[in-house]
Amino acid sequence: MTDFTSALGSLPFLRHALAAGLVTAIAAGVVGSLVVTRRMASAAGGLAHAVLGGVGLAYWLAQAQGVAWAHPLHGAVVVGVGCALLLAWVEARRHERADTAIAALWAVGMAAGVLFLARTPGYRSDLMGYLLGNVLLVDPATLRWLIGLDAVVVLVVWLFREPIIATSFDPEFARLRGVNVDLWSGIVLVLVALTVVSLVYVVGIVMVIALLTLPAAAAGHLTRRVGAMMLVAVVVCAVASTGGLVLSWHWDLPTGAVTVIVAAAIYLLARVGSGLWHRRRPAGSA
Amino acid sequence: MTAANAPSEPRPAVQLRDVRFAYGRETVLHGVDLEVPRGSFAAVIGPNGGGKSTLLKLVVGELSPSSGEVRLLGEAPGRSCRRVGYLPQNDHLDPEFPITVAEVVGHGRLSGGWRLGGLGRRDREIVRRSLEDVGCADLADRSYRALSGGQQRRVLIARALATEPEMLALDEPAAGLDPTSQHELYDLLSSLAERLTVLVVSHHVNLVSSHVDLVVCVHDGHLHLPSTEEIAPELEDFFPDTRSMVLVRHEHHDCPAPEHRHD
Repeated sequence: MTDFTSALGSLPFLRHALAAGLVTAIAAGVVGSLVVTRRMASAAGGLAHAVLGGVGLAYWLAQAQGVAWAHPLHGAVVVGVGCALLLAWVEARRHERADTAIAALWAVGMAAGVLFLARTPGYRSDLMGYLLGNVLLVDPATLRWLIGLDAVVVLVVWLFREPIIATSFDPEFARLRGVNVDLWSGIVLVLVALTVVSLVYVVGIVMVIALLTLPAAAAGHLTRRVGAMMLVAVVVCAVASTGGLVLSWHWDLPTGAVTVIVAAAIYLLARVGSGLWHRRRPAGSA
Repeated sequence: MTAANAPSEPRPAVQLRDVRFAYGRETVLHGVDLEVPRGSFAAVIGPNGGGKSTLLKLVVGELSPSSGEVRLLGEAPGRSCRRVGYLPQNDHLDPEFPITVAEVVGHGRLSGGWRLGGLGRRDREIVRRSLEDVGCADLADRSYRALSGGQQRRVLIARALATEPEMLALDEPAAGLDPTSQHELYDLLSSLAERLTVLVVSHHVNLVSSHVDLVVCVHDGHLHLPSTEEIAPELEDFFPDTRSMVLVRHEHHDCPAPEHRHD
C-alpha cells in the first residue's frame, strides 16, 4: 500500500486511473441498480459488446480515413446510444423478440469492430485495453469526458427518479397512469449505454457487465430502497475499483480483472452476511 | 345480457356493447354486453382462462376491443382510465424489488407529465391517507418485499386509492392468500364500495358471493349474469365441485342486495 501511495504522488497516470475508477463508480452504482432491479443485465451486456463497433469505427476513421477528430470514446458513445435507441424501439414493438435483438447487437457490434480494426493500418497496442480494460491508459481529456458522462447520467436519474423507479417496479400500472413506459425504458437504455462506455475504460468491454451487476446486487441485499441501493452500490463500486487498482499495482496484475474479482468478493460477503442477518432477525423486519 | 342500471345514474360506471376481442386468431370474448351501475360492488367470476382478466383489461383500456364499444365512467377508457384505480394481477411484480410501502403507494400519484424530483406535500398527505384507508398506516416505512401476501395486496389497493379514483378495478385481489386474509380483504373492499364503484375479477365464487351485489360470469368468452335461478345449472357446469358453491341471485334490477343459496 505504501508503494502505491508513494507512486500516486509521483505518477500522474496513476492519479488519473484512480480518479477514473472513482468517477465511473458513481454512474456504475446508480445505473447498475437500475440494471439489476429492471432485470436488464443481458441488454447491458449486449450494449457493452456492441460498443466495440464504435471503437473500431473511430480508429478506422482516424487512421485510415484521416478524420483527425475521431476518438474511440466518441465512436463508443455514438454507437452505444444508437444501439440503445434501436433496442428501445424493438422493445416498444412488443411482438418483436428483444432477446434476439440483444444477441444480434452483441454479435454484430463485435464483428463490425473487428472488421474496422482489420482495415485500420498499423498495430494498436491499446486495443486489448478496450476489450479487457486498462484504466492506466486514461488521459486527462478522457477523464473530463468520463466526468461529463457521469454528470449527465446521475442528473437524469436524480431528476426523474419517480417515473424511472415506478416503471421499473410496475410498468403495467405506470402505463395506466399515463406514464410513457416505452419512453422511460428507452431513456434508461441510453443511460446504460453511457455508463457502459465509461466503464469500458476501467474494466474493458468483456467485464463491463460485472461492474454493472455485482455492486448493485450486493447493495440489493443490504438495502430496502432503490435510492439507498444506488448509494451503497456506488460505495461498493468505488471500493472495488480502488481495491482493484491497488492490488493490481502491488502484484503486477491486470487492473480490470482484479477489480471484477474484488467486486465479486464483496458481493459474496454481502450475500452471506445478509443471509446470516435475516436468519437472526424475525421476518418482516428487513 | 345486460345488468340493471340504477335509474338515477344515466351513465353507468362500465358499459360494454357487443364487445369482441381476439388474441390473434383466438377469439377470447364473443359479443359481450354489460353495464355496471355506479356505486355497485361487482364481481366478474369464471374459470381460469375464461376471459375474465381480458374483460377487465378492456374495461380499463389496457386492451382495445376488436369490435364493439367500451365506455368507462361515461367516456372512452383511454380518457377515463386515470379516474380508475387499477390493481393488476400480483404475479407480474418482482418479489425482491427494494422499495418501501410509502414509495409503492406514492406511485399512485404519478401522471404522464415530466414532473421533476419526488412527491410534494399534498401527494405525501394522500399517500398517508390511502394507507390509513387500508389499515396499513404503520407499515409506511417497511420494505414492501418483507410484507405478507395480504399486506402487500392492501398496499397495492392503497396505491390504487392514492390515484383518487372514482372506481376500483381489481384483478384477482385475493389470489394466493389464506382464507382468513381473503375474507379480510373482501371486508376491506366492501367498506371501500360504500364510497366507490368496485369491480373485481375472481375465480373464488364463494368468496365474492358473500360480499358483492352484482356477479357477472365469464366462461369461454361468453358473458352470463347469474341473476336468476335458471343460471344455477350453468354455473354448476363451470365449477364441477358445486357442493359448497354459493350463488348470488338478484331479485331486483336496481343493484339489489345479495341473496345466498348453498347447494
